Amino acid sequence: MTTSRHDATARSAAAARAAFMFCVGAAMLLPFALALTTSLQAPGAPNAGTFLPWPLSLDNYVAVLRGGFGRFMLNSAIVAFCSIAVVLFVSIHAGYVVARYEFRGKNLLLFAILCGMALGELSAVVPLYFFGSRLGLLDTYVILVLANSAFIAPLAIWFLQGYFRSIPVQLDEAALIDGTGRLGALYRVVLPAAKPGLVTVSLLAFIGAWNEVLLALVLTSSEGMRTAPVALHFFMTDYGVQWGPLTAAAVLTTLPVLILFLLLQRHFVRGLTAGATTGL
Amino acid sequence: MTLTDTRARRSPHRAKIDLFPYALMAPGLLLVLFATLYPVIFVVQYSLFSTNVYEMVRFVGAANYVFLFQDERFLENLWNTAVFVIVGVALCWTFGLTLALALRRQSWGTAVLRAIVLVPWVTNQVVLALMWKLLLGGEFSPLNDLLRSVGLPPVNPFISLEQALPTLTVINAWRATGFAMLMLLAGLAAIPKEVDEAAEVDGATKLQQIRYVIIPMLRPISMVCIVTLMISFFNVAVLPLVLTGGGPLHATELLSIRLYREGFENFDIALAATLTVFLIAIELLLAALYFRLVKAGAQS
Repeated sequence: MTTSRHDATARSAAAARAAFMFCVGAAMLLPFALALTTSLQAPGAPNAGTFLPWPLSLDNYVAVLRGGFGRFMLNSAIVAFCSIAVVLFVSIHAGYVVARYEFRGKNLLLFAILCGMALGELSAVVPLYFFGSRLGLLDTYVILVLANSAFIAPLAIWFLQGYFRSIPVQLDEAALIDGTGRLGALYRVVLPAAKPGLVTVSLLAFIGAWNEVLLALVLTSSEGMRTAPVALHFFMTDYGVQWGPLTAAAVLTTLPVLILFLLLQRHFVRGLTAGATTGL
Repeated sequence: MTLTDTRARRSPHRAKIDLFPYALMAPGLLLVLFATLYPVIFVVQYSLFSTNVYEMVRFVGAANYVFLFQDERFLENLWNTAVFVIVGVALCWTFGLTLALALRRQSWGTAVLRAIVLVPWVTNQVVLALMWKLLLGGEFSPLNDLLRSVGLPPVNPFISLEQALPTLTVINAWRATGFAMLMLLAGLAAIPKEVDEAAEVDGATKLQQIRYVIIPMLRPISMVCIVTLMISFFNVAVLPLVLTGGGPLHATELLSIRLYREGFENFDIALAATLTVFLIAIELLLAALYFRLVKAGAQS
């Protein structure tokens, strides 16, 4: 008697749980699902969102790619990969000395870098436009890469110095005795041991740079320099929107980040929570 | 041999500062200063001048600041931003805590759901904005199809004076829920098992346990999460820019949108710079709070 009642409560609790989980999943994914299904509708369907596209068609994707969206994706990729390189370069070196060396003014310099976490693209967008126009850097990859890396660098440096600390200092010492020199110790011994940390930083840099819109919108002007999200923005005019092609382009823009995120989720989570879980 | 070695090392080398750590730190430092110190100097300077596009015309002292504080539209911007940030962060923390508690147990299902909740956080804001526009805006949106089928009049929250700002705030909180959940999950993982069990033995109900045991223990990480989200929400510009463009009228015009408009639509650089000074002042205040919290967390 008691066992069956117990079973019944357990079963209803499990059902409530499942229902809750389903609702959460739906709330998070509903807009994504709508964009995906709308992108799959055939041309000539009503120009509105639909959950049930029929007949299914990839025509919107073909049209978008024929219309040159590949170029915008390529621009985004170039900016993202160059940003990874710059962020890795600065965060490896700065993170390493913060973790391993004591020197005058270290805390002040570190503090100056971490202040960068507080300021976003928004507070720099007007000055950087001026800077770019004075140096003739507007509408180039250079300014986009510099600006993107600058906003990702503080978190990357903070994360990597913590990661380097978790690597035994005896490794460096052994390398120094072997005569690698101080940089050699970093490059040949510490970096190979820090690979997972470098993956995290690269992923943060890629996602940050790929998703950046404001700077890319302001600092570029010619169509050939647009990144994918900025190109999406220009798809949406005041005169109306062609939802089929637009959602197809949105899906294409989202896919690279989504795939990397799903593959490297653990690295991403570790990087995101780095700011909160390590003390100064 | 050894003697000369030591002597060579002691004088003059020993007195010299070792430049190695500075050299390694320099690229990162310069890069970050380029995006922080340079803009700060720039906006403070421009905020004290009257300008013709990017040309400084005349020193005007605090006139730009005085203008802003007498500008009703600016006060509206501040109010909208306060709602967007404070209500948004409160919602985000509540959603995040609910999900963290629900998805705390390690299983196949919770792992999948945790990933799903993070998807909006890694998606760029133009895509998020256009998806929500597709879902809720427009005469033939799925929302309106649903409303019509039950005999209600169609709506478009993005052009409604009353609904635009709340809708925008909720969508932005939805976007960041995954981040709040992650932080709070990290906090939950740090609560010792014995604490939970002790509360259970004392006969506390699940809700009491959450209210009196779990939430107080999550306080440090909650504070860090809240301050981080506030800084992040102050900087949100693209999502509202695409969703509502600050409209209808100025109903959703946040500080960020006003700044963008003054800088890149009206080319009133003095005003844009003054707005940026406000933004930076708020952000630095929040950052100072953040450092204190993280430091306190490290000590306890």
